[in-house]
Amino acid sequence: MSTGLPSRRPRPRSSRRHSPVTPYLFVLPGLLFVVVFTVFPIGWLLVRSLFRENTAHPNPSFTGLANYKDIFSDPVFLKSLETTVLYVVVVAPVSVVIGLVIAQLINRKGIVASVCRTAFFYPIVLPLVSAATIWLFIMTPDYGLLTHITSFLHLGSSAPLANPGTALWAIGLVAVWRQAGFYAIFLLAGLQAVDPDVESAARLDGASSLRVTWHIRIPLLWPTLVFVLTLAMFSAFQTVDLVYVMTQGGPIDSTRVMLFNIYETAFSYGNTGGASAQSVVFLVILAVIAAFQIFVVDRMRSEIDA
Amino acid sequence: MRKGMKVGSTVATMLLGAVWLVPLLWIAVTAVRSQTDSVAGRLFPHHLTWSTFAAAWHAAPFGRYYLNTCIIAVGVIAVQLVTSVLAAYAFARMTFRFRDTLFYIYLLQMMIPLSALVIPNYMTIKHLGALNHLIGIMLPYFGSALGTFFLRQSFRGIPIEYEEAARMDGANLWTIVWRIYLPNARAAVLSFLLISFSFHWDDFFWPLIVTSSDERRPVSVGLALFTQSSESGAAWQLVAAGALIVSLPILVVFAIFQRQLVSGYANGMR
Repeated sequence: MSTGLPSRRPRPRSSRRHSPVTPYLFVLPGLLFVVVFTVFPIGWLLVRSLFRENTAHPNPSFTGLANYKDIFSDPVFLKSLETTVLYVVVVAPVSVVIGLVIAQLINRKGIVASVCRTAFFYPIVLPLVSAATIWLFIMTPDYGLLTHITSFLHLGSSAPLANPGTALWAIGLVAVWRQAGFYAIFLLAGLQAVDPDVESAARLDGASSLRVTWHIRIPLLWPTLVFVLTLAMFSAFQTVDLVYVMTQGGPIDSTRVMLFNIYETAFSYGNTGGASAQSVVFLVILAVIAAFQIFVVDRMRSEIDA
Repeated sequence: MRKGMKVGSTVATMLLGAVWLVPLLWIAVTAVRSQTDSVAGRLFPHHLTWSTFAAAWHAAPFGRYYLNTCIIAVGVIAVQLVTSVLAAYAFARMTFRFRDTLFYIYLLQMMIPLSALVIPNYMTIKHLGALNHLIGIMLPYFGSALGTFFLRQSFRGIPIEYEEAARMDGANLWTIVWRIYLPNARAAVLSFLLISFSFHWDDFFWPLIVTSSDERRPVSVGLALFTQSSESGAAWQLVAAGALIVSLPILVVFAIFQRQLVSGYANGMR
């Protein structure tokens, strides 16, 4: 998502034929909901992270930074932080690379490309819970498709979701399958914007397809690639639904990502203070990714557009 | 040489496309495969059965789930359209103090996932007495940064002469917004409707948290609970049918509007 910051350029003609309160009345209804359900909650979390409130202390009392001290010495939270970072660092780039491969493959005319477009794009709209259910069944030990395949190859039964070493990557695989096509949409638009003359000139000079891709397409596509990578990071960072449906954080907490841990800390263990402090840490990391997008990626992209 | 490359990439496209389709085919095969075929462990069914769908439909209140999802999606989108059109017009065509600041506040919603704010929002909905009500699921979505952003972009592309001509004819601001701007932003509106609809068909985590009874659950949450309860009984046929029941409507919408949806993402989110 681009921020599309309002341009500083003066508009040629502006329609100042309305009462001075009209713009506020127009903006207000939507803004009201944004303030109540996005701005206020951020403040709420910041404040509540400084209060002790849990099942043992049902009435909130101010404790300063004690909640932060607690969570940063809580191995479960630290593990969830580590799991989330690992997941983002692996799954986001992999989705983008697969997205790029898909974009390259469907970037032409013809029946094969157009049929395959549908094949790559349908998982985007497939409800996430359906996708999770389908893959849960593919990966189920006794009847799953994966077991059919591995036993056909004489590799025995396989249950990636039951193994703490592979469960996170099994979830990552589902995320990549579901989203690579989405990223391919942006990358395809980027590829199609590459001037065909530059490419054919390079080909005339005897450059191979691979060289054209590496030396011409990738550099021209770079801003789009970085933009898509931030989208993928945002998306991977907020993973929780797949975990909820597929593993519930298990086995042995190996898929306990931050949002899932926050959810359980608040709703299963009733530790609102601790969950708020964890949420603040989550929002800070999110802000770092957002800052990277606004100050690096959007600037890069507007330079290209100019 | 070039021809060989071309054939090679066609084959690669088909192979990867097939891999992408396998999960859907596998779930479809599982749902229509008869009991004897599953027990015999045959991957490809000898006999097809359609009764699994009926069985799944009755094994959980899918009709109710469907209705809830439709009410939520239609209700949210209708309100979003009104709030977004008004705000988008103000941001696109009016000059006022704090305009940029207010726009940034709007954009904050696009940056921060609702699933990170579920604790305070749960409290708010609880205070409003809307827990386990459809309105409680819908409220946080009534203001839409994405819709406002999409429409603002589109409104800025509409020649201001249209508006001036209408004014000459005596049209007031309200008429101008709804009769000039909205119809001229048709493509953006359609993209926004499609994206918002597929979002709400999909939305899972927030409805999961604010609902506690089957009468109020949308399809996404209903399917997740159905999967969890059937998984232990290894009733995979039913689960497969359930997953298809939930996916089919949105896949049909996708089949019809694929082009618009894809170009909506590509243009709108740049």
